[in-house]
Amino acid sequence: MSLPRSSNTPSPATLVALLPEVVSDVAEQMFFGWAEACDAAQSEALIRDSLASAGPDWVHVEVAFRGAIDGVLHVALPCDLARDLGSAMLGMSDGAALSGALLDDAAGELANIICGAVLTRGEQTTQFELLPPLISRRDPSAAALTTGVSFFTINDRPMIVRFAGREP
Amino acid sequence: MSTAAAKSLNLLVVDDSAMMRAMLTRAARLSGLPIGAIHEAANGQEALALLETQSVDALFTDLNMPVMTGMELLRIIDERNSWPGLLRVVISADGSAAKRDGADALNTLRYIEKPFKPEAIRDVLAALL
Repeated sequence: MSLPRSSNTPSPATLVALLPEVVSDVAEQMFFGWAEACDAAQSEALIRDSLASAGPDWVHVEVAFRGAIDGVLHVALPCDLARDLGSAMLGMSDGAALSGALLDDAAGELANIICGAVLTRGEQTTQFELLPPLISRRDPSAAALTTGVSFFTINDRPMIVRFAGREP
Repeated sequence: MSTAAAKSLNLLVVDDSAMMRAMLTRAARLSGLPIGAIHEAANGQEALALLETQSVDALFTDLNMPVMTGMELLRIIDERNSWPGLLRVVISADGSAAKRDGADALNTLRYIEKPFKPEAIRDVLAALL
């Protein structure tokens, strides 16, 4: 399906620039978390700490979108962080009580909301379509080594976001 | 619904994310407002089946869902006119003007854009009552 384009369609770089504000808002409002952008060196240190304390189990989410700009938002975060965010969303005190399926669901919803908010705030008037999140479990290296990524901390743990968009 | 001070609202929450359904259910239960049954559906098709068999006062639906989207669900509800008193609320990560206008045209009372604070659900429920 071809969605209508607007004459004031923002560039992908403009949308990437919205990520820090959007990630902070989503973490705070939906997951009661504290998020901020960080640089690659800080992220690398956080990833190292995370690998040492929680192991290499990371959840990766890809949300494809179509509209004035087509592309994919990729979010990667440690499973224990996704578990804690999901628990906070549901008001649970014990993150371990969150099942694996709900953990994936929490990560998927996190990525879905970030993607929707970036596109909404950037495009505002134009129509877009979000596809269902694709979720996988891998170590963080695949995301961290990719070019064009943005690094964040949420509750002092690492999260990697890559917004790859192109005009169709 | 202004005369329903003693009445409780029966809700139908439609979202393909179990987390979102649980979060919305929790927010409604913690709102301090008279909430009755809360039914859950993972897509528009499941929601229609529940509407056929359950008493529902207010529908909270996501838009992007597999099988049947929220917009398709709202369109069918509007066309059938079988639930004229059903209060319709959209909750979506897509806050574009195009989607808002589309929902407005299908008699949606409120459009909640993600991210939102849980208090937003309480405020909408209070307004519906």
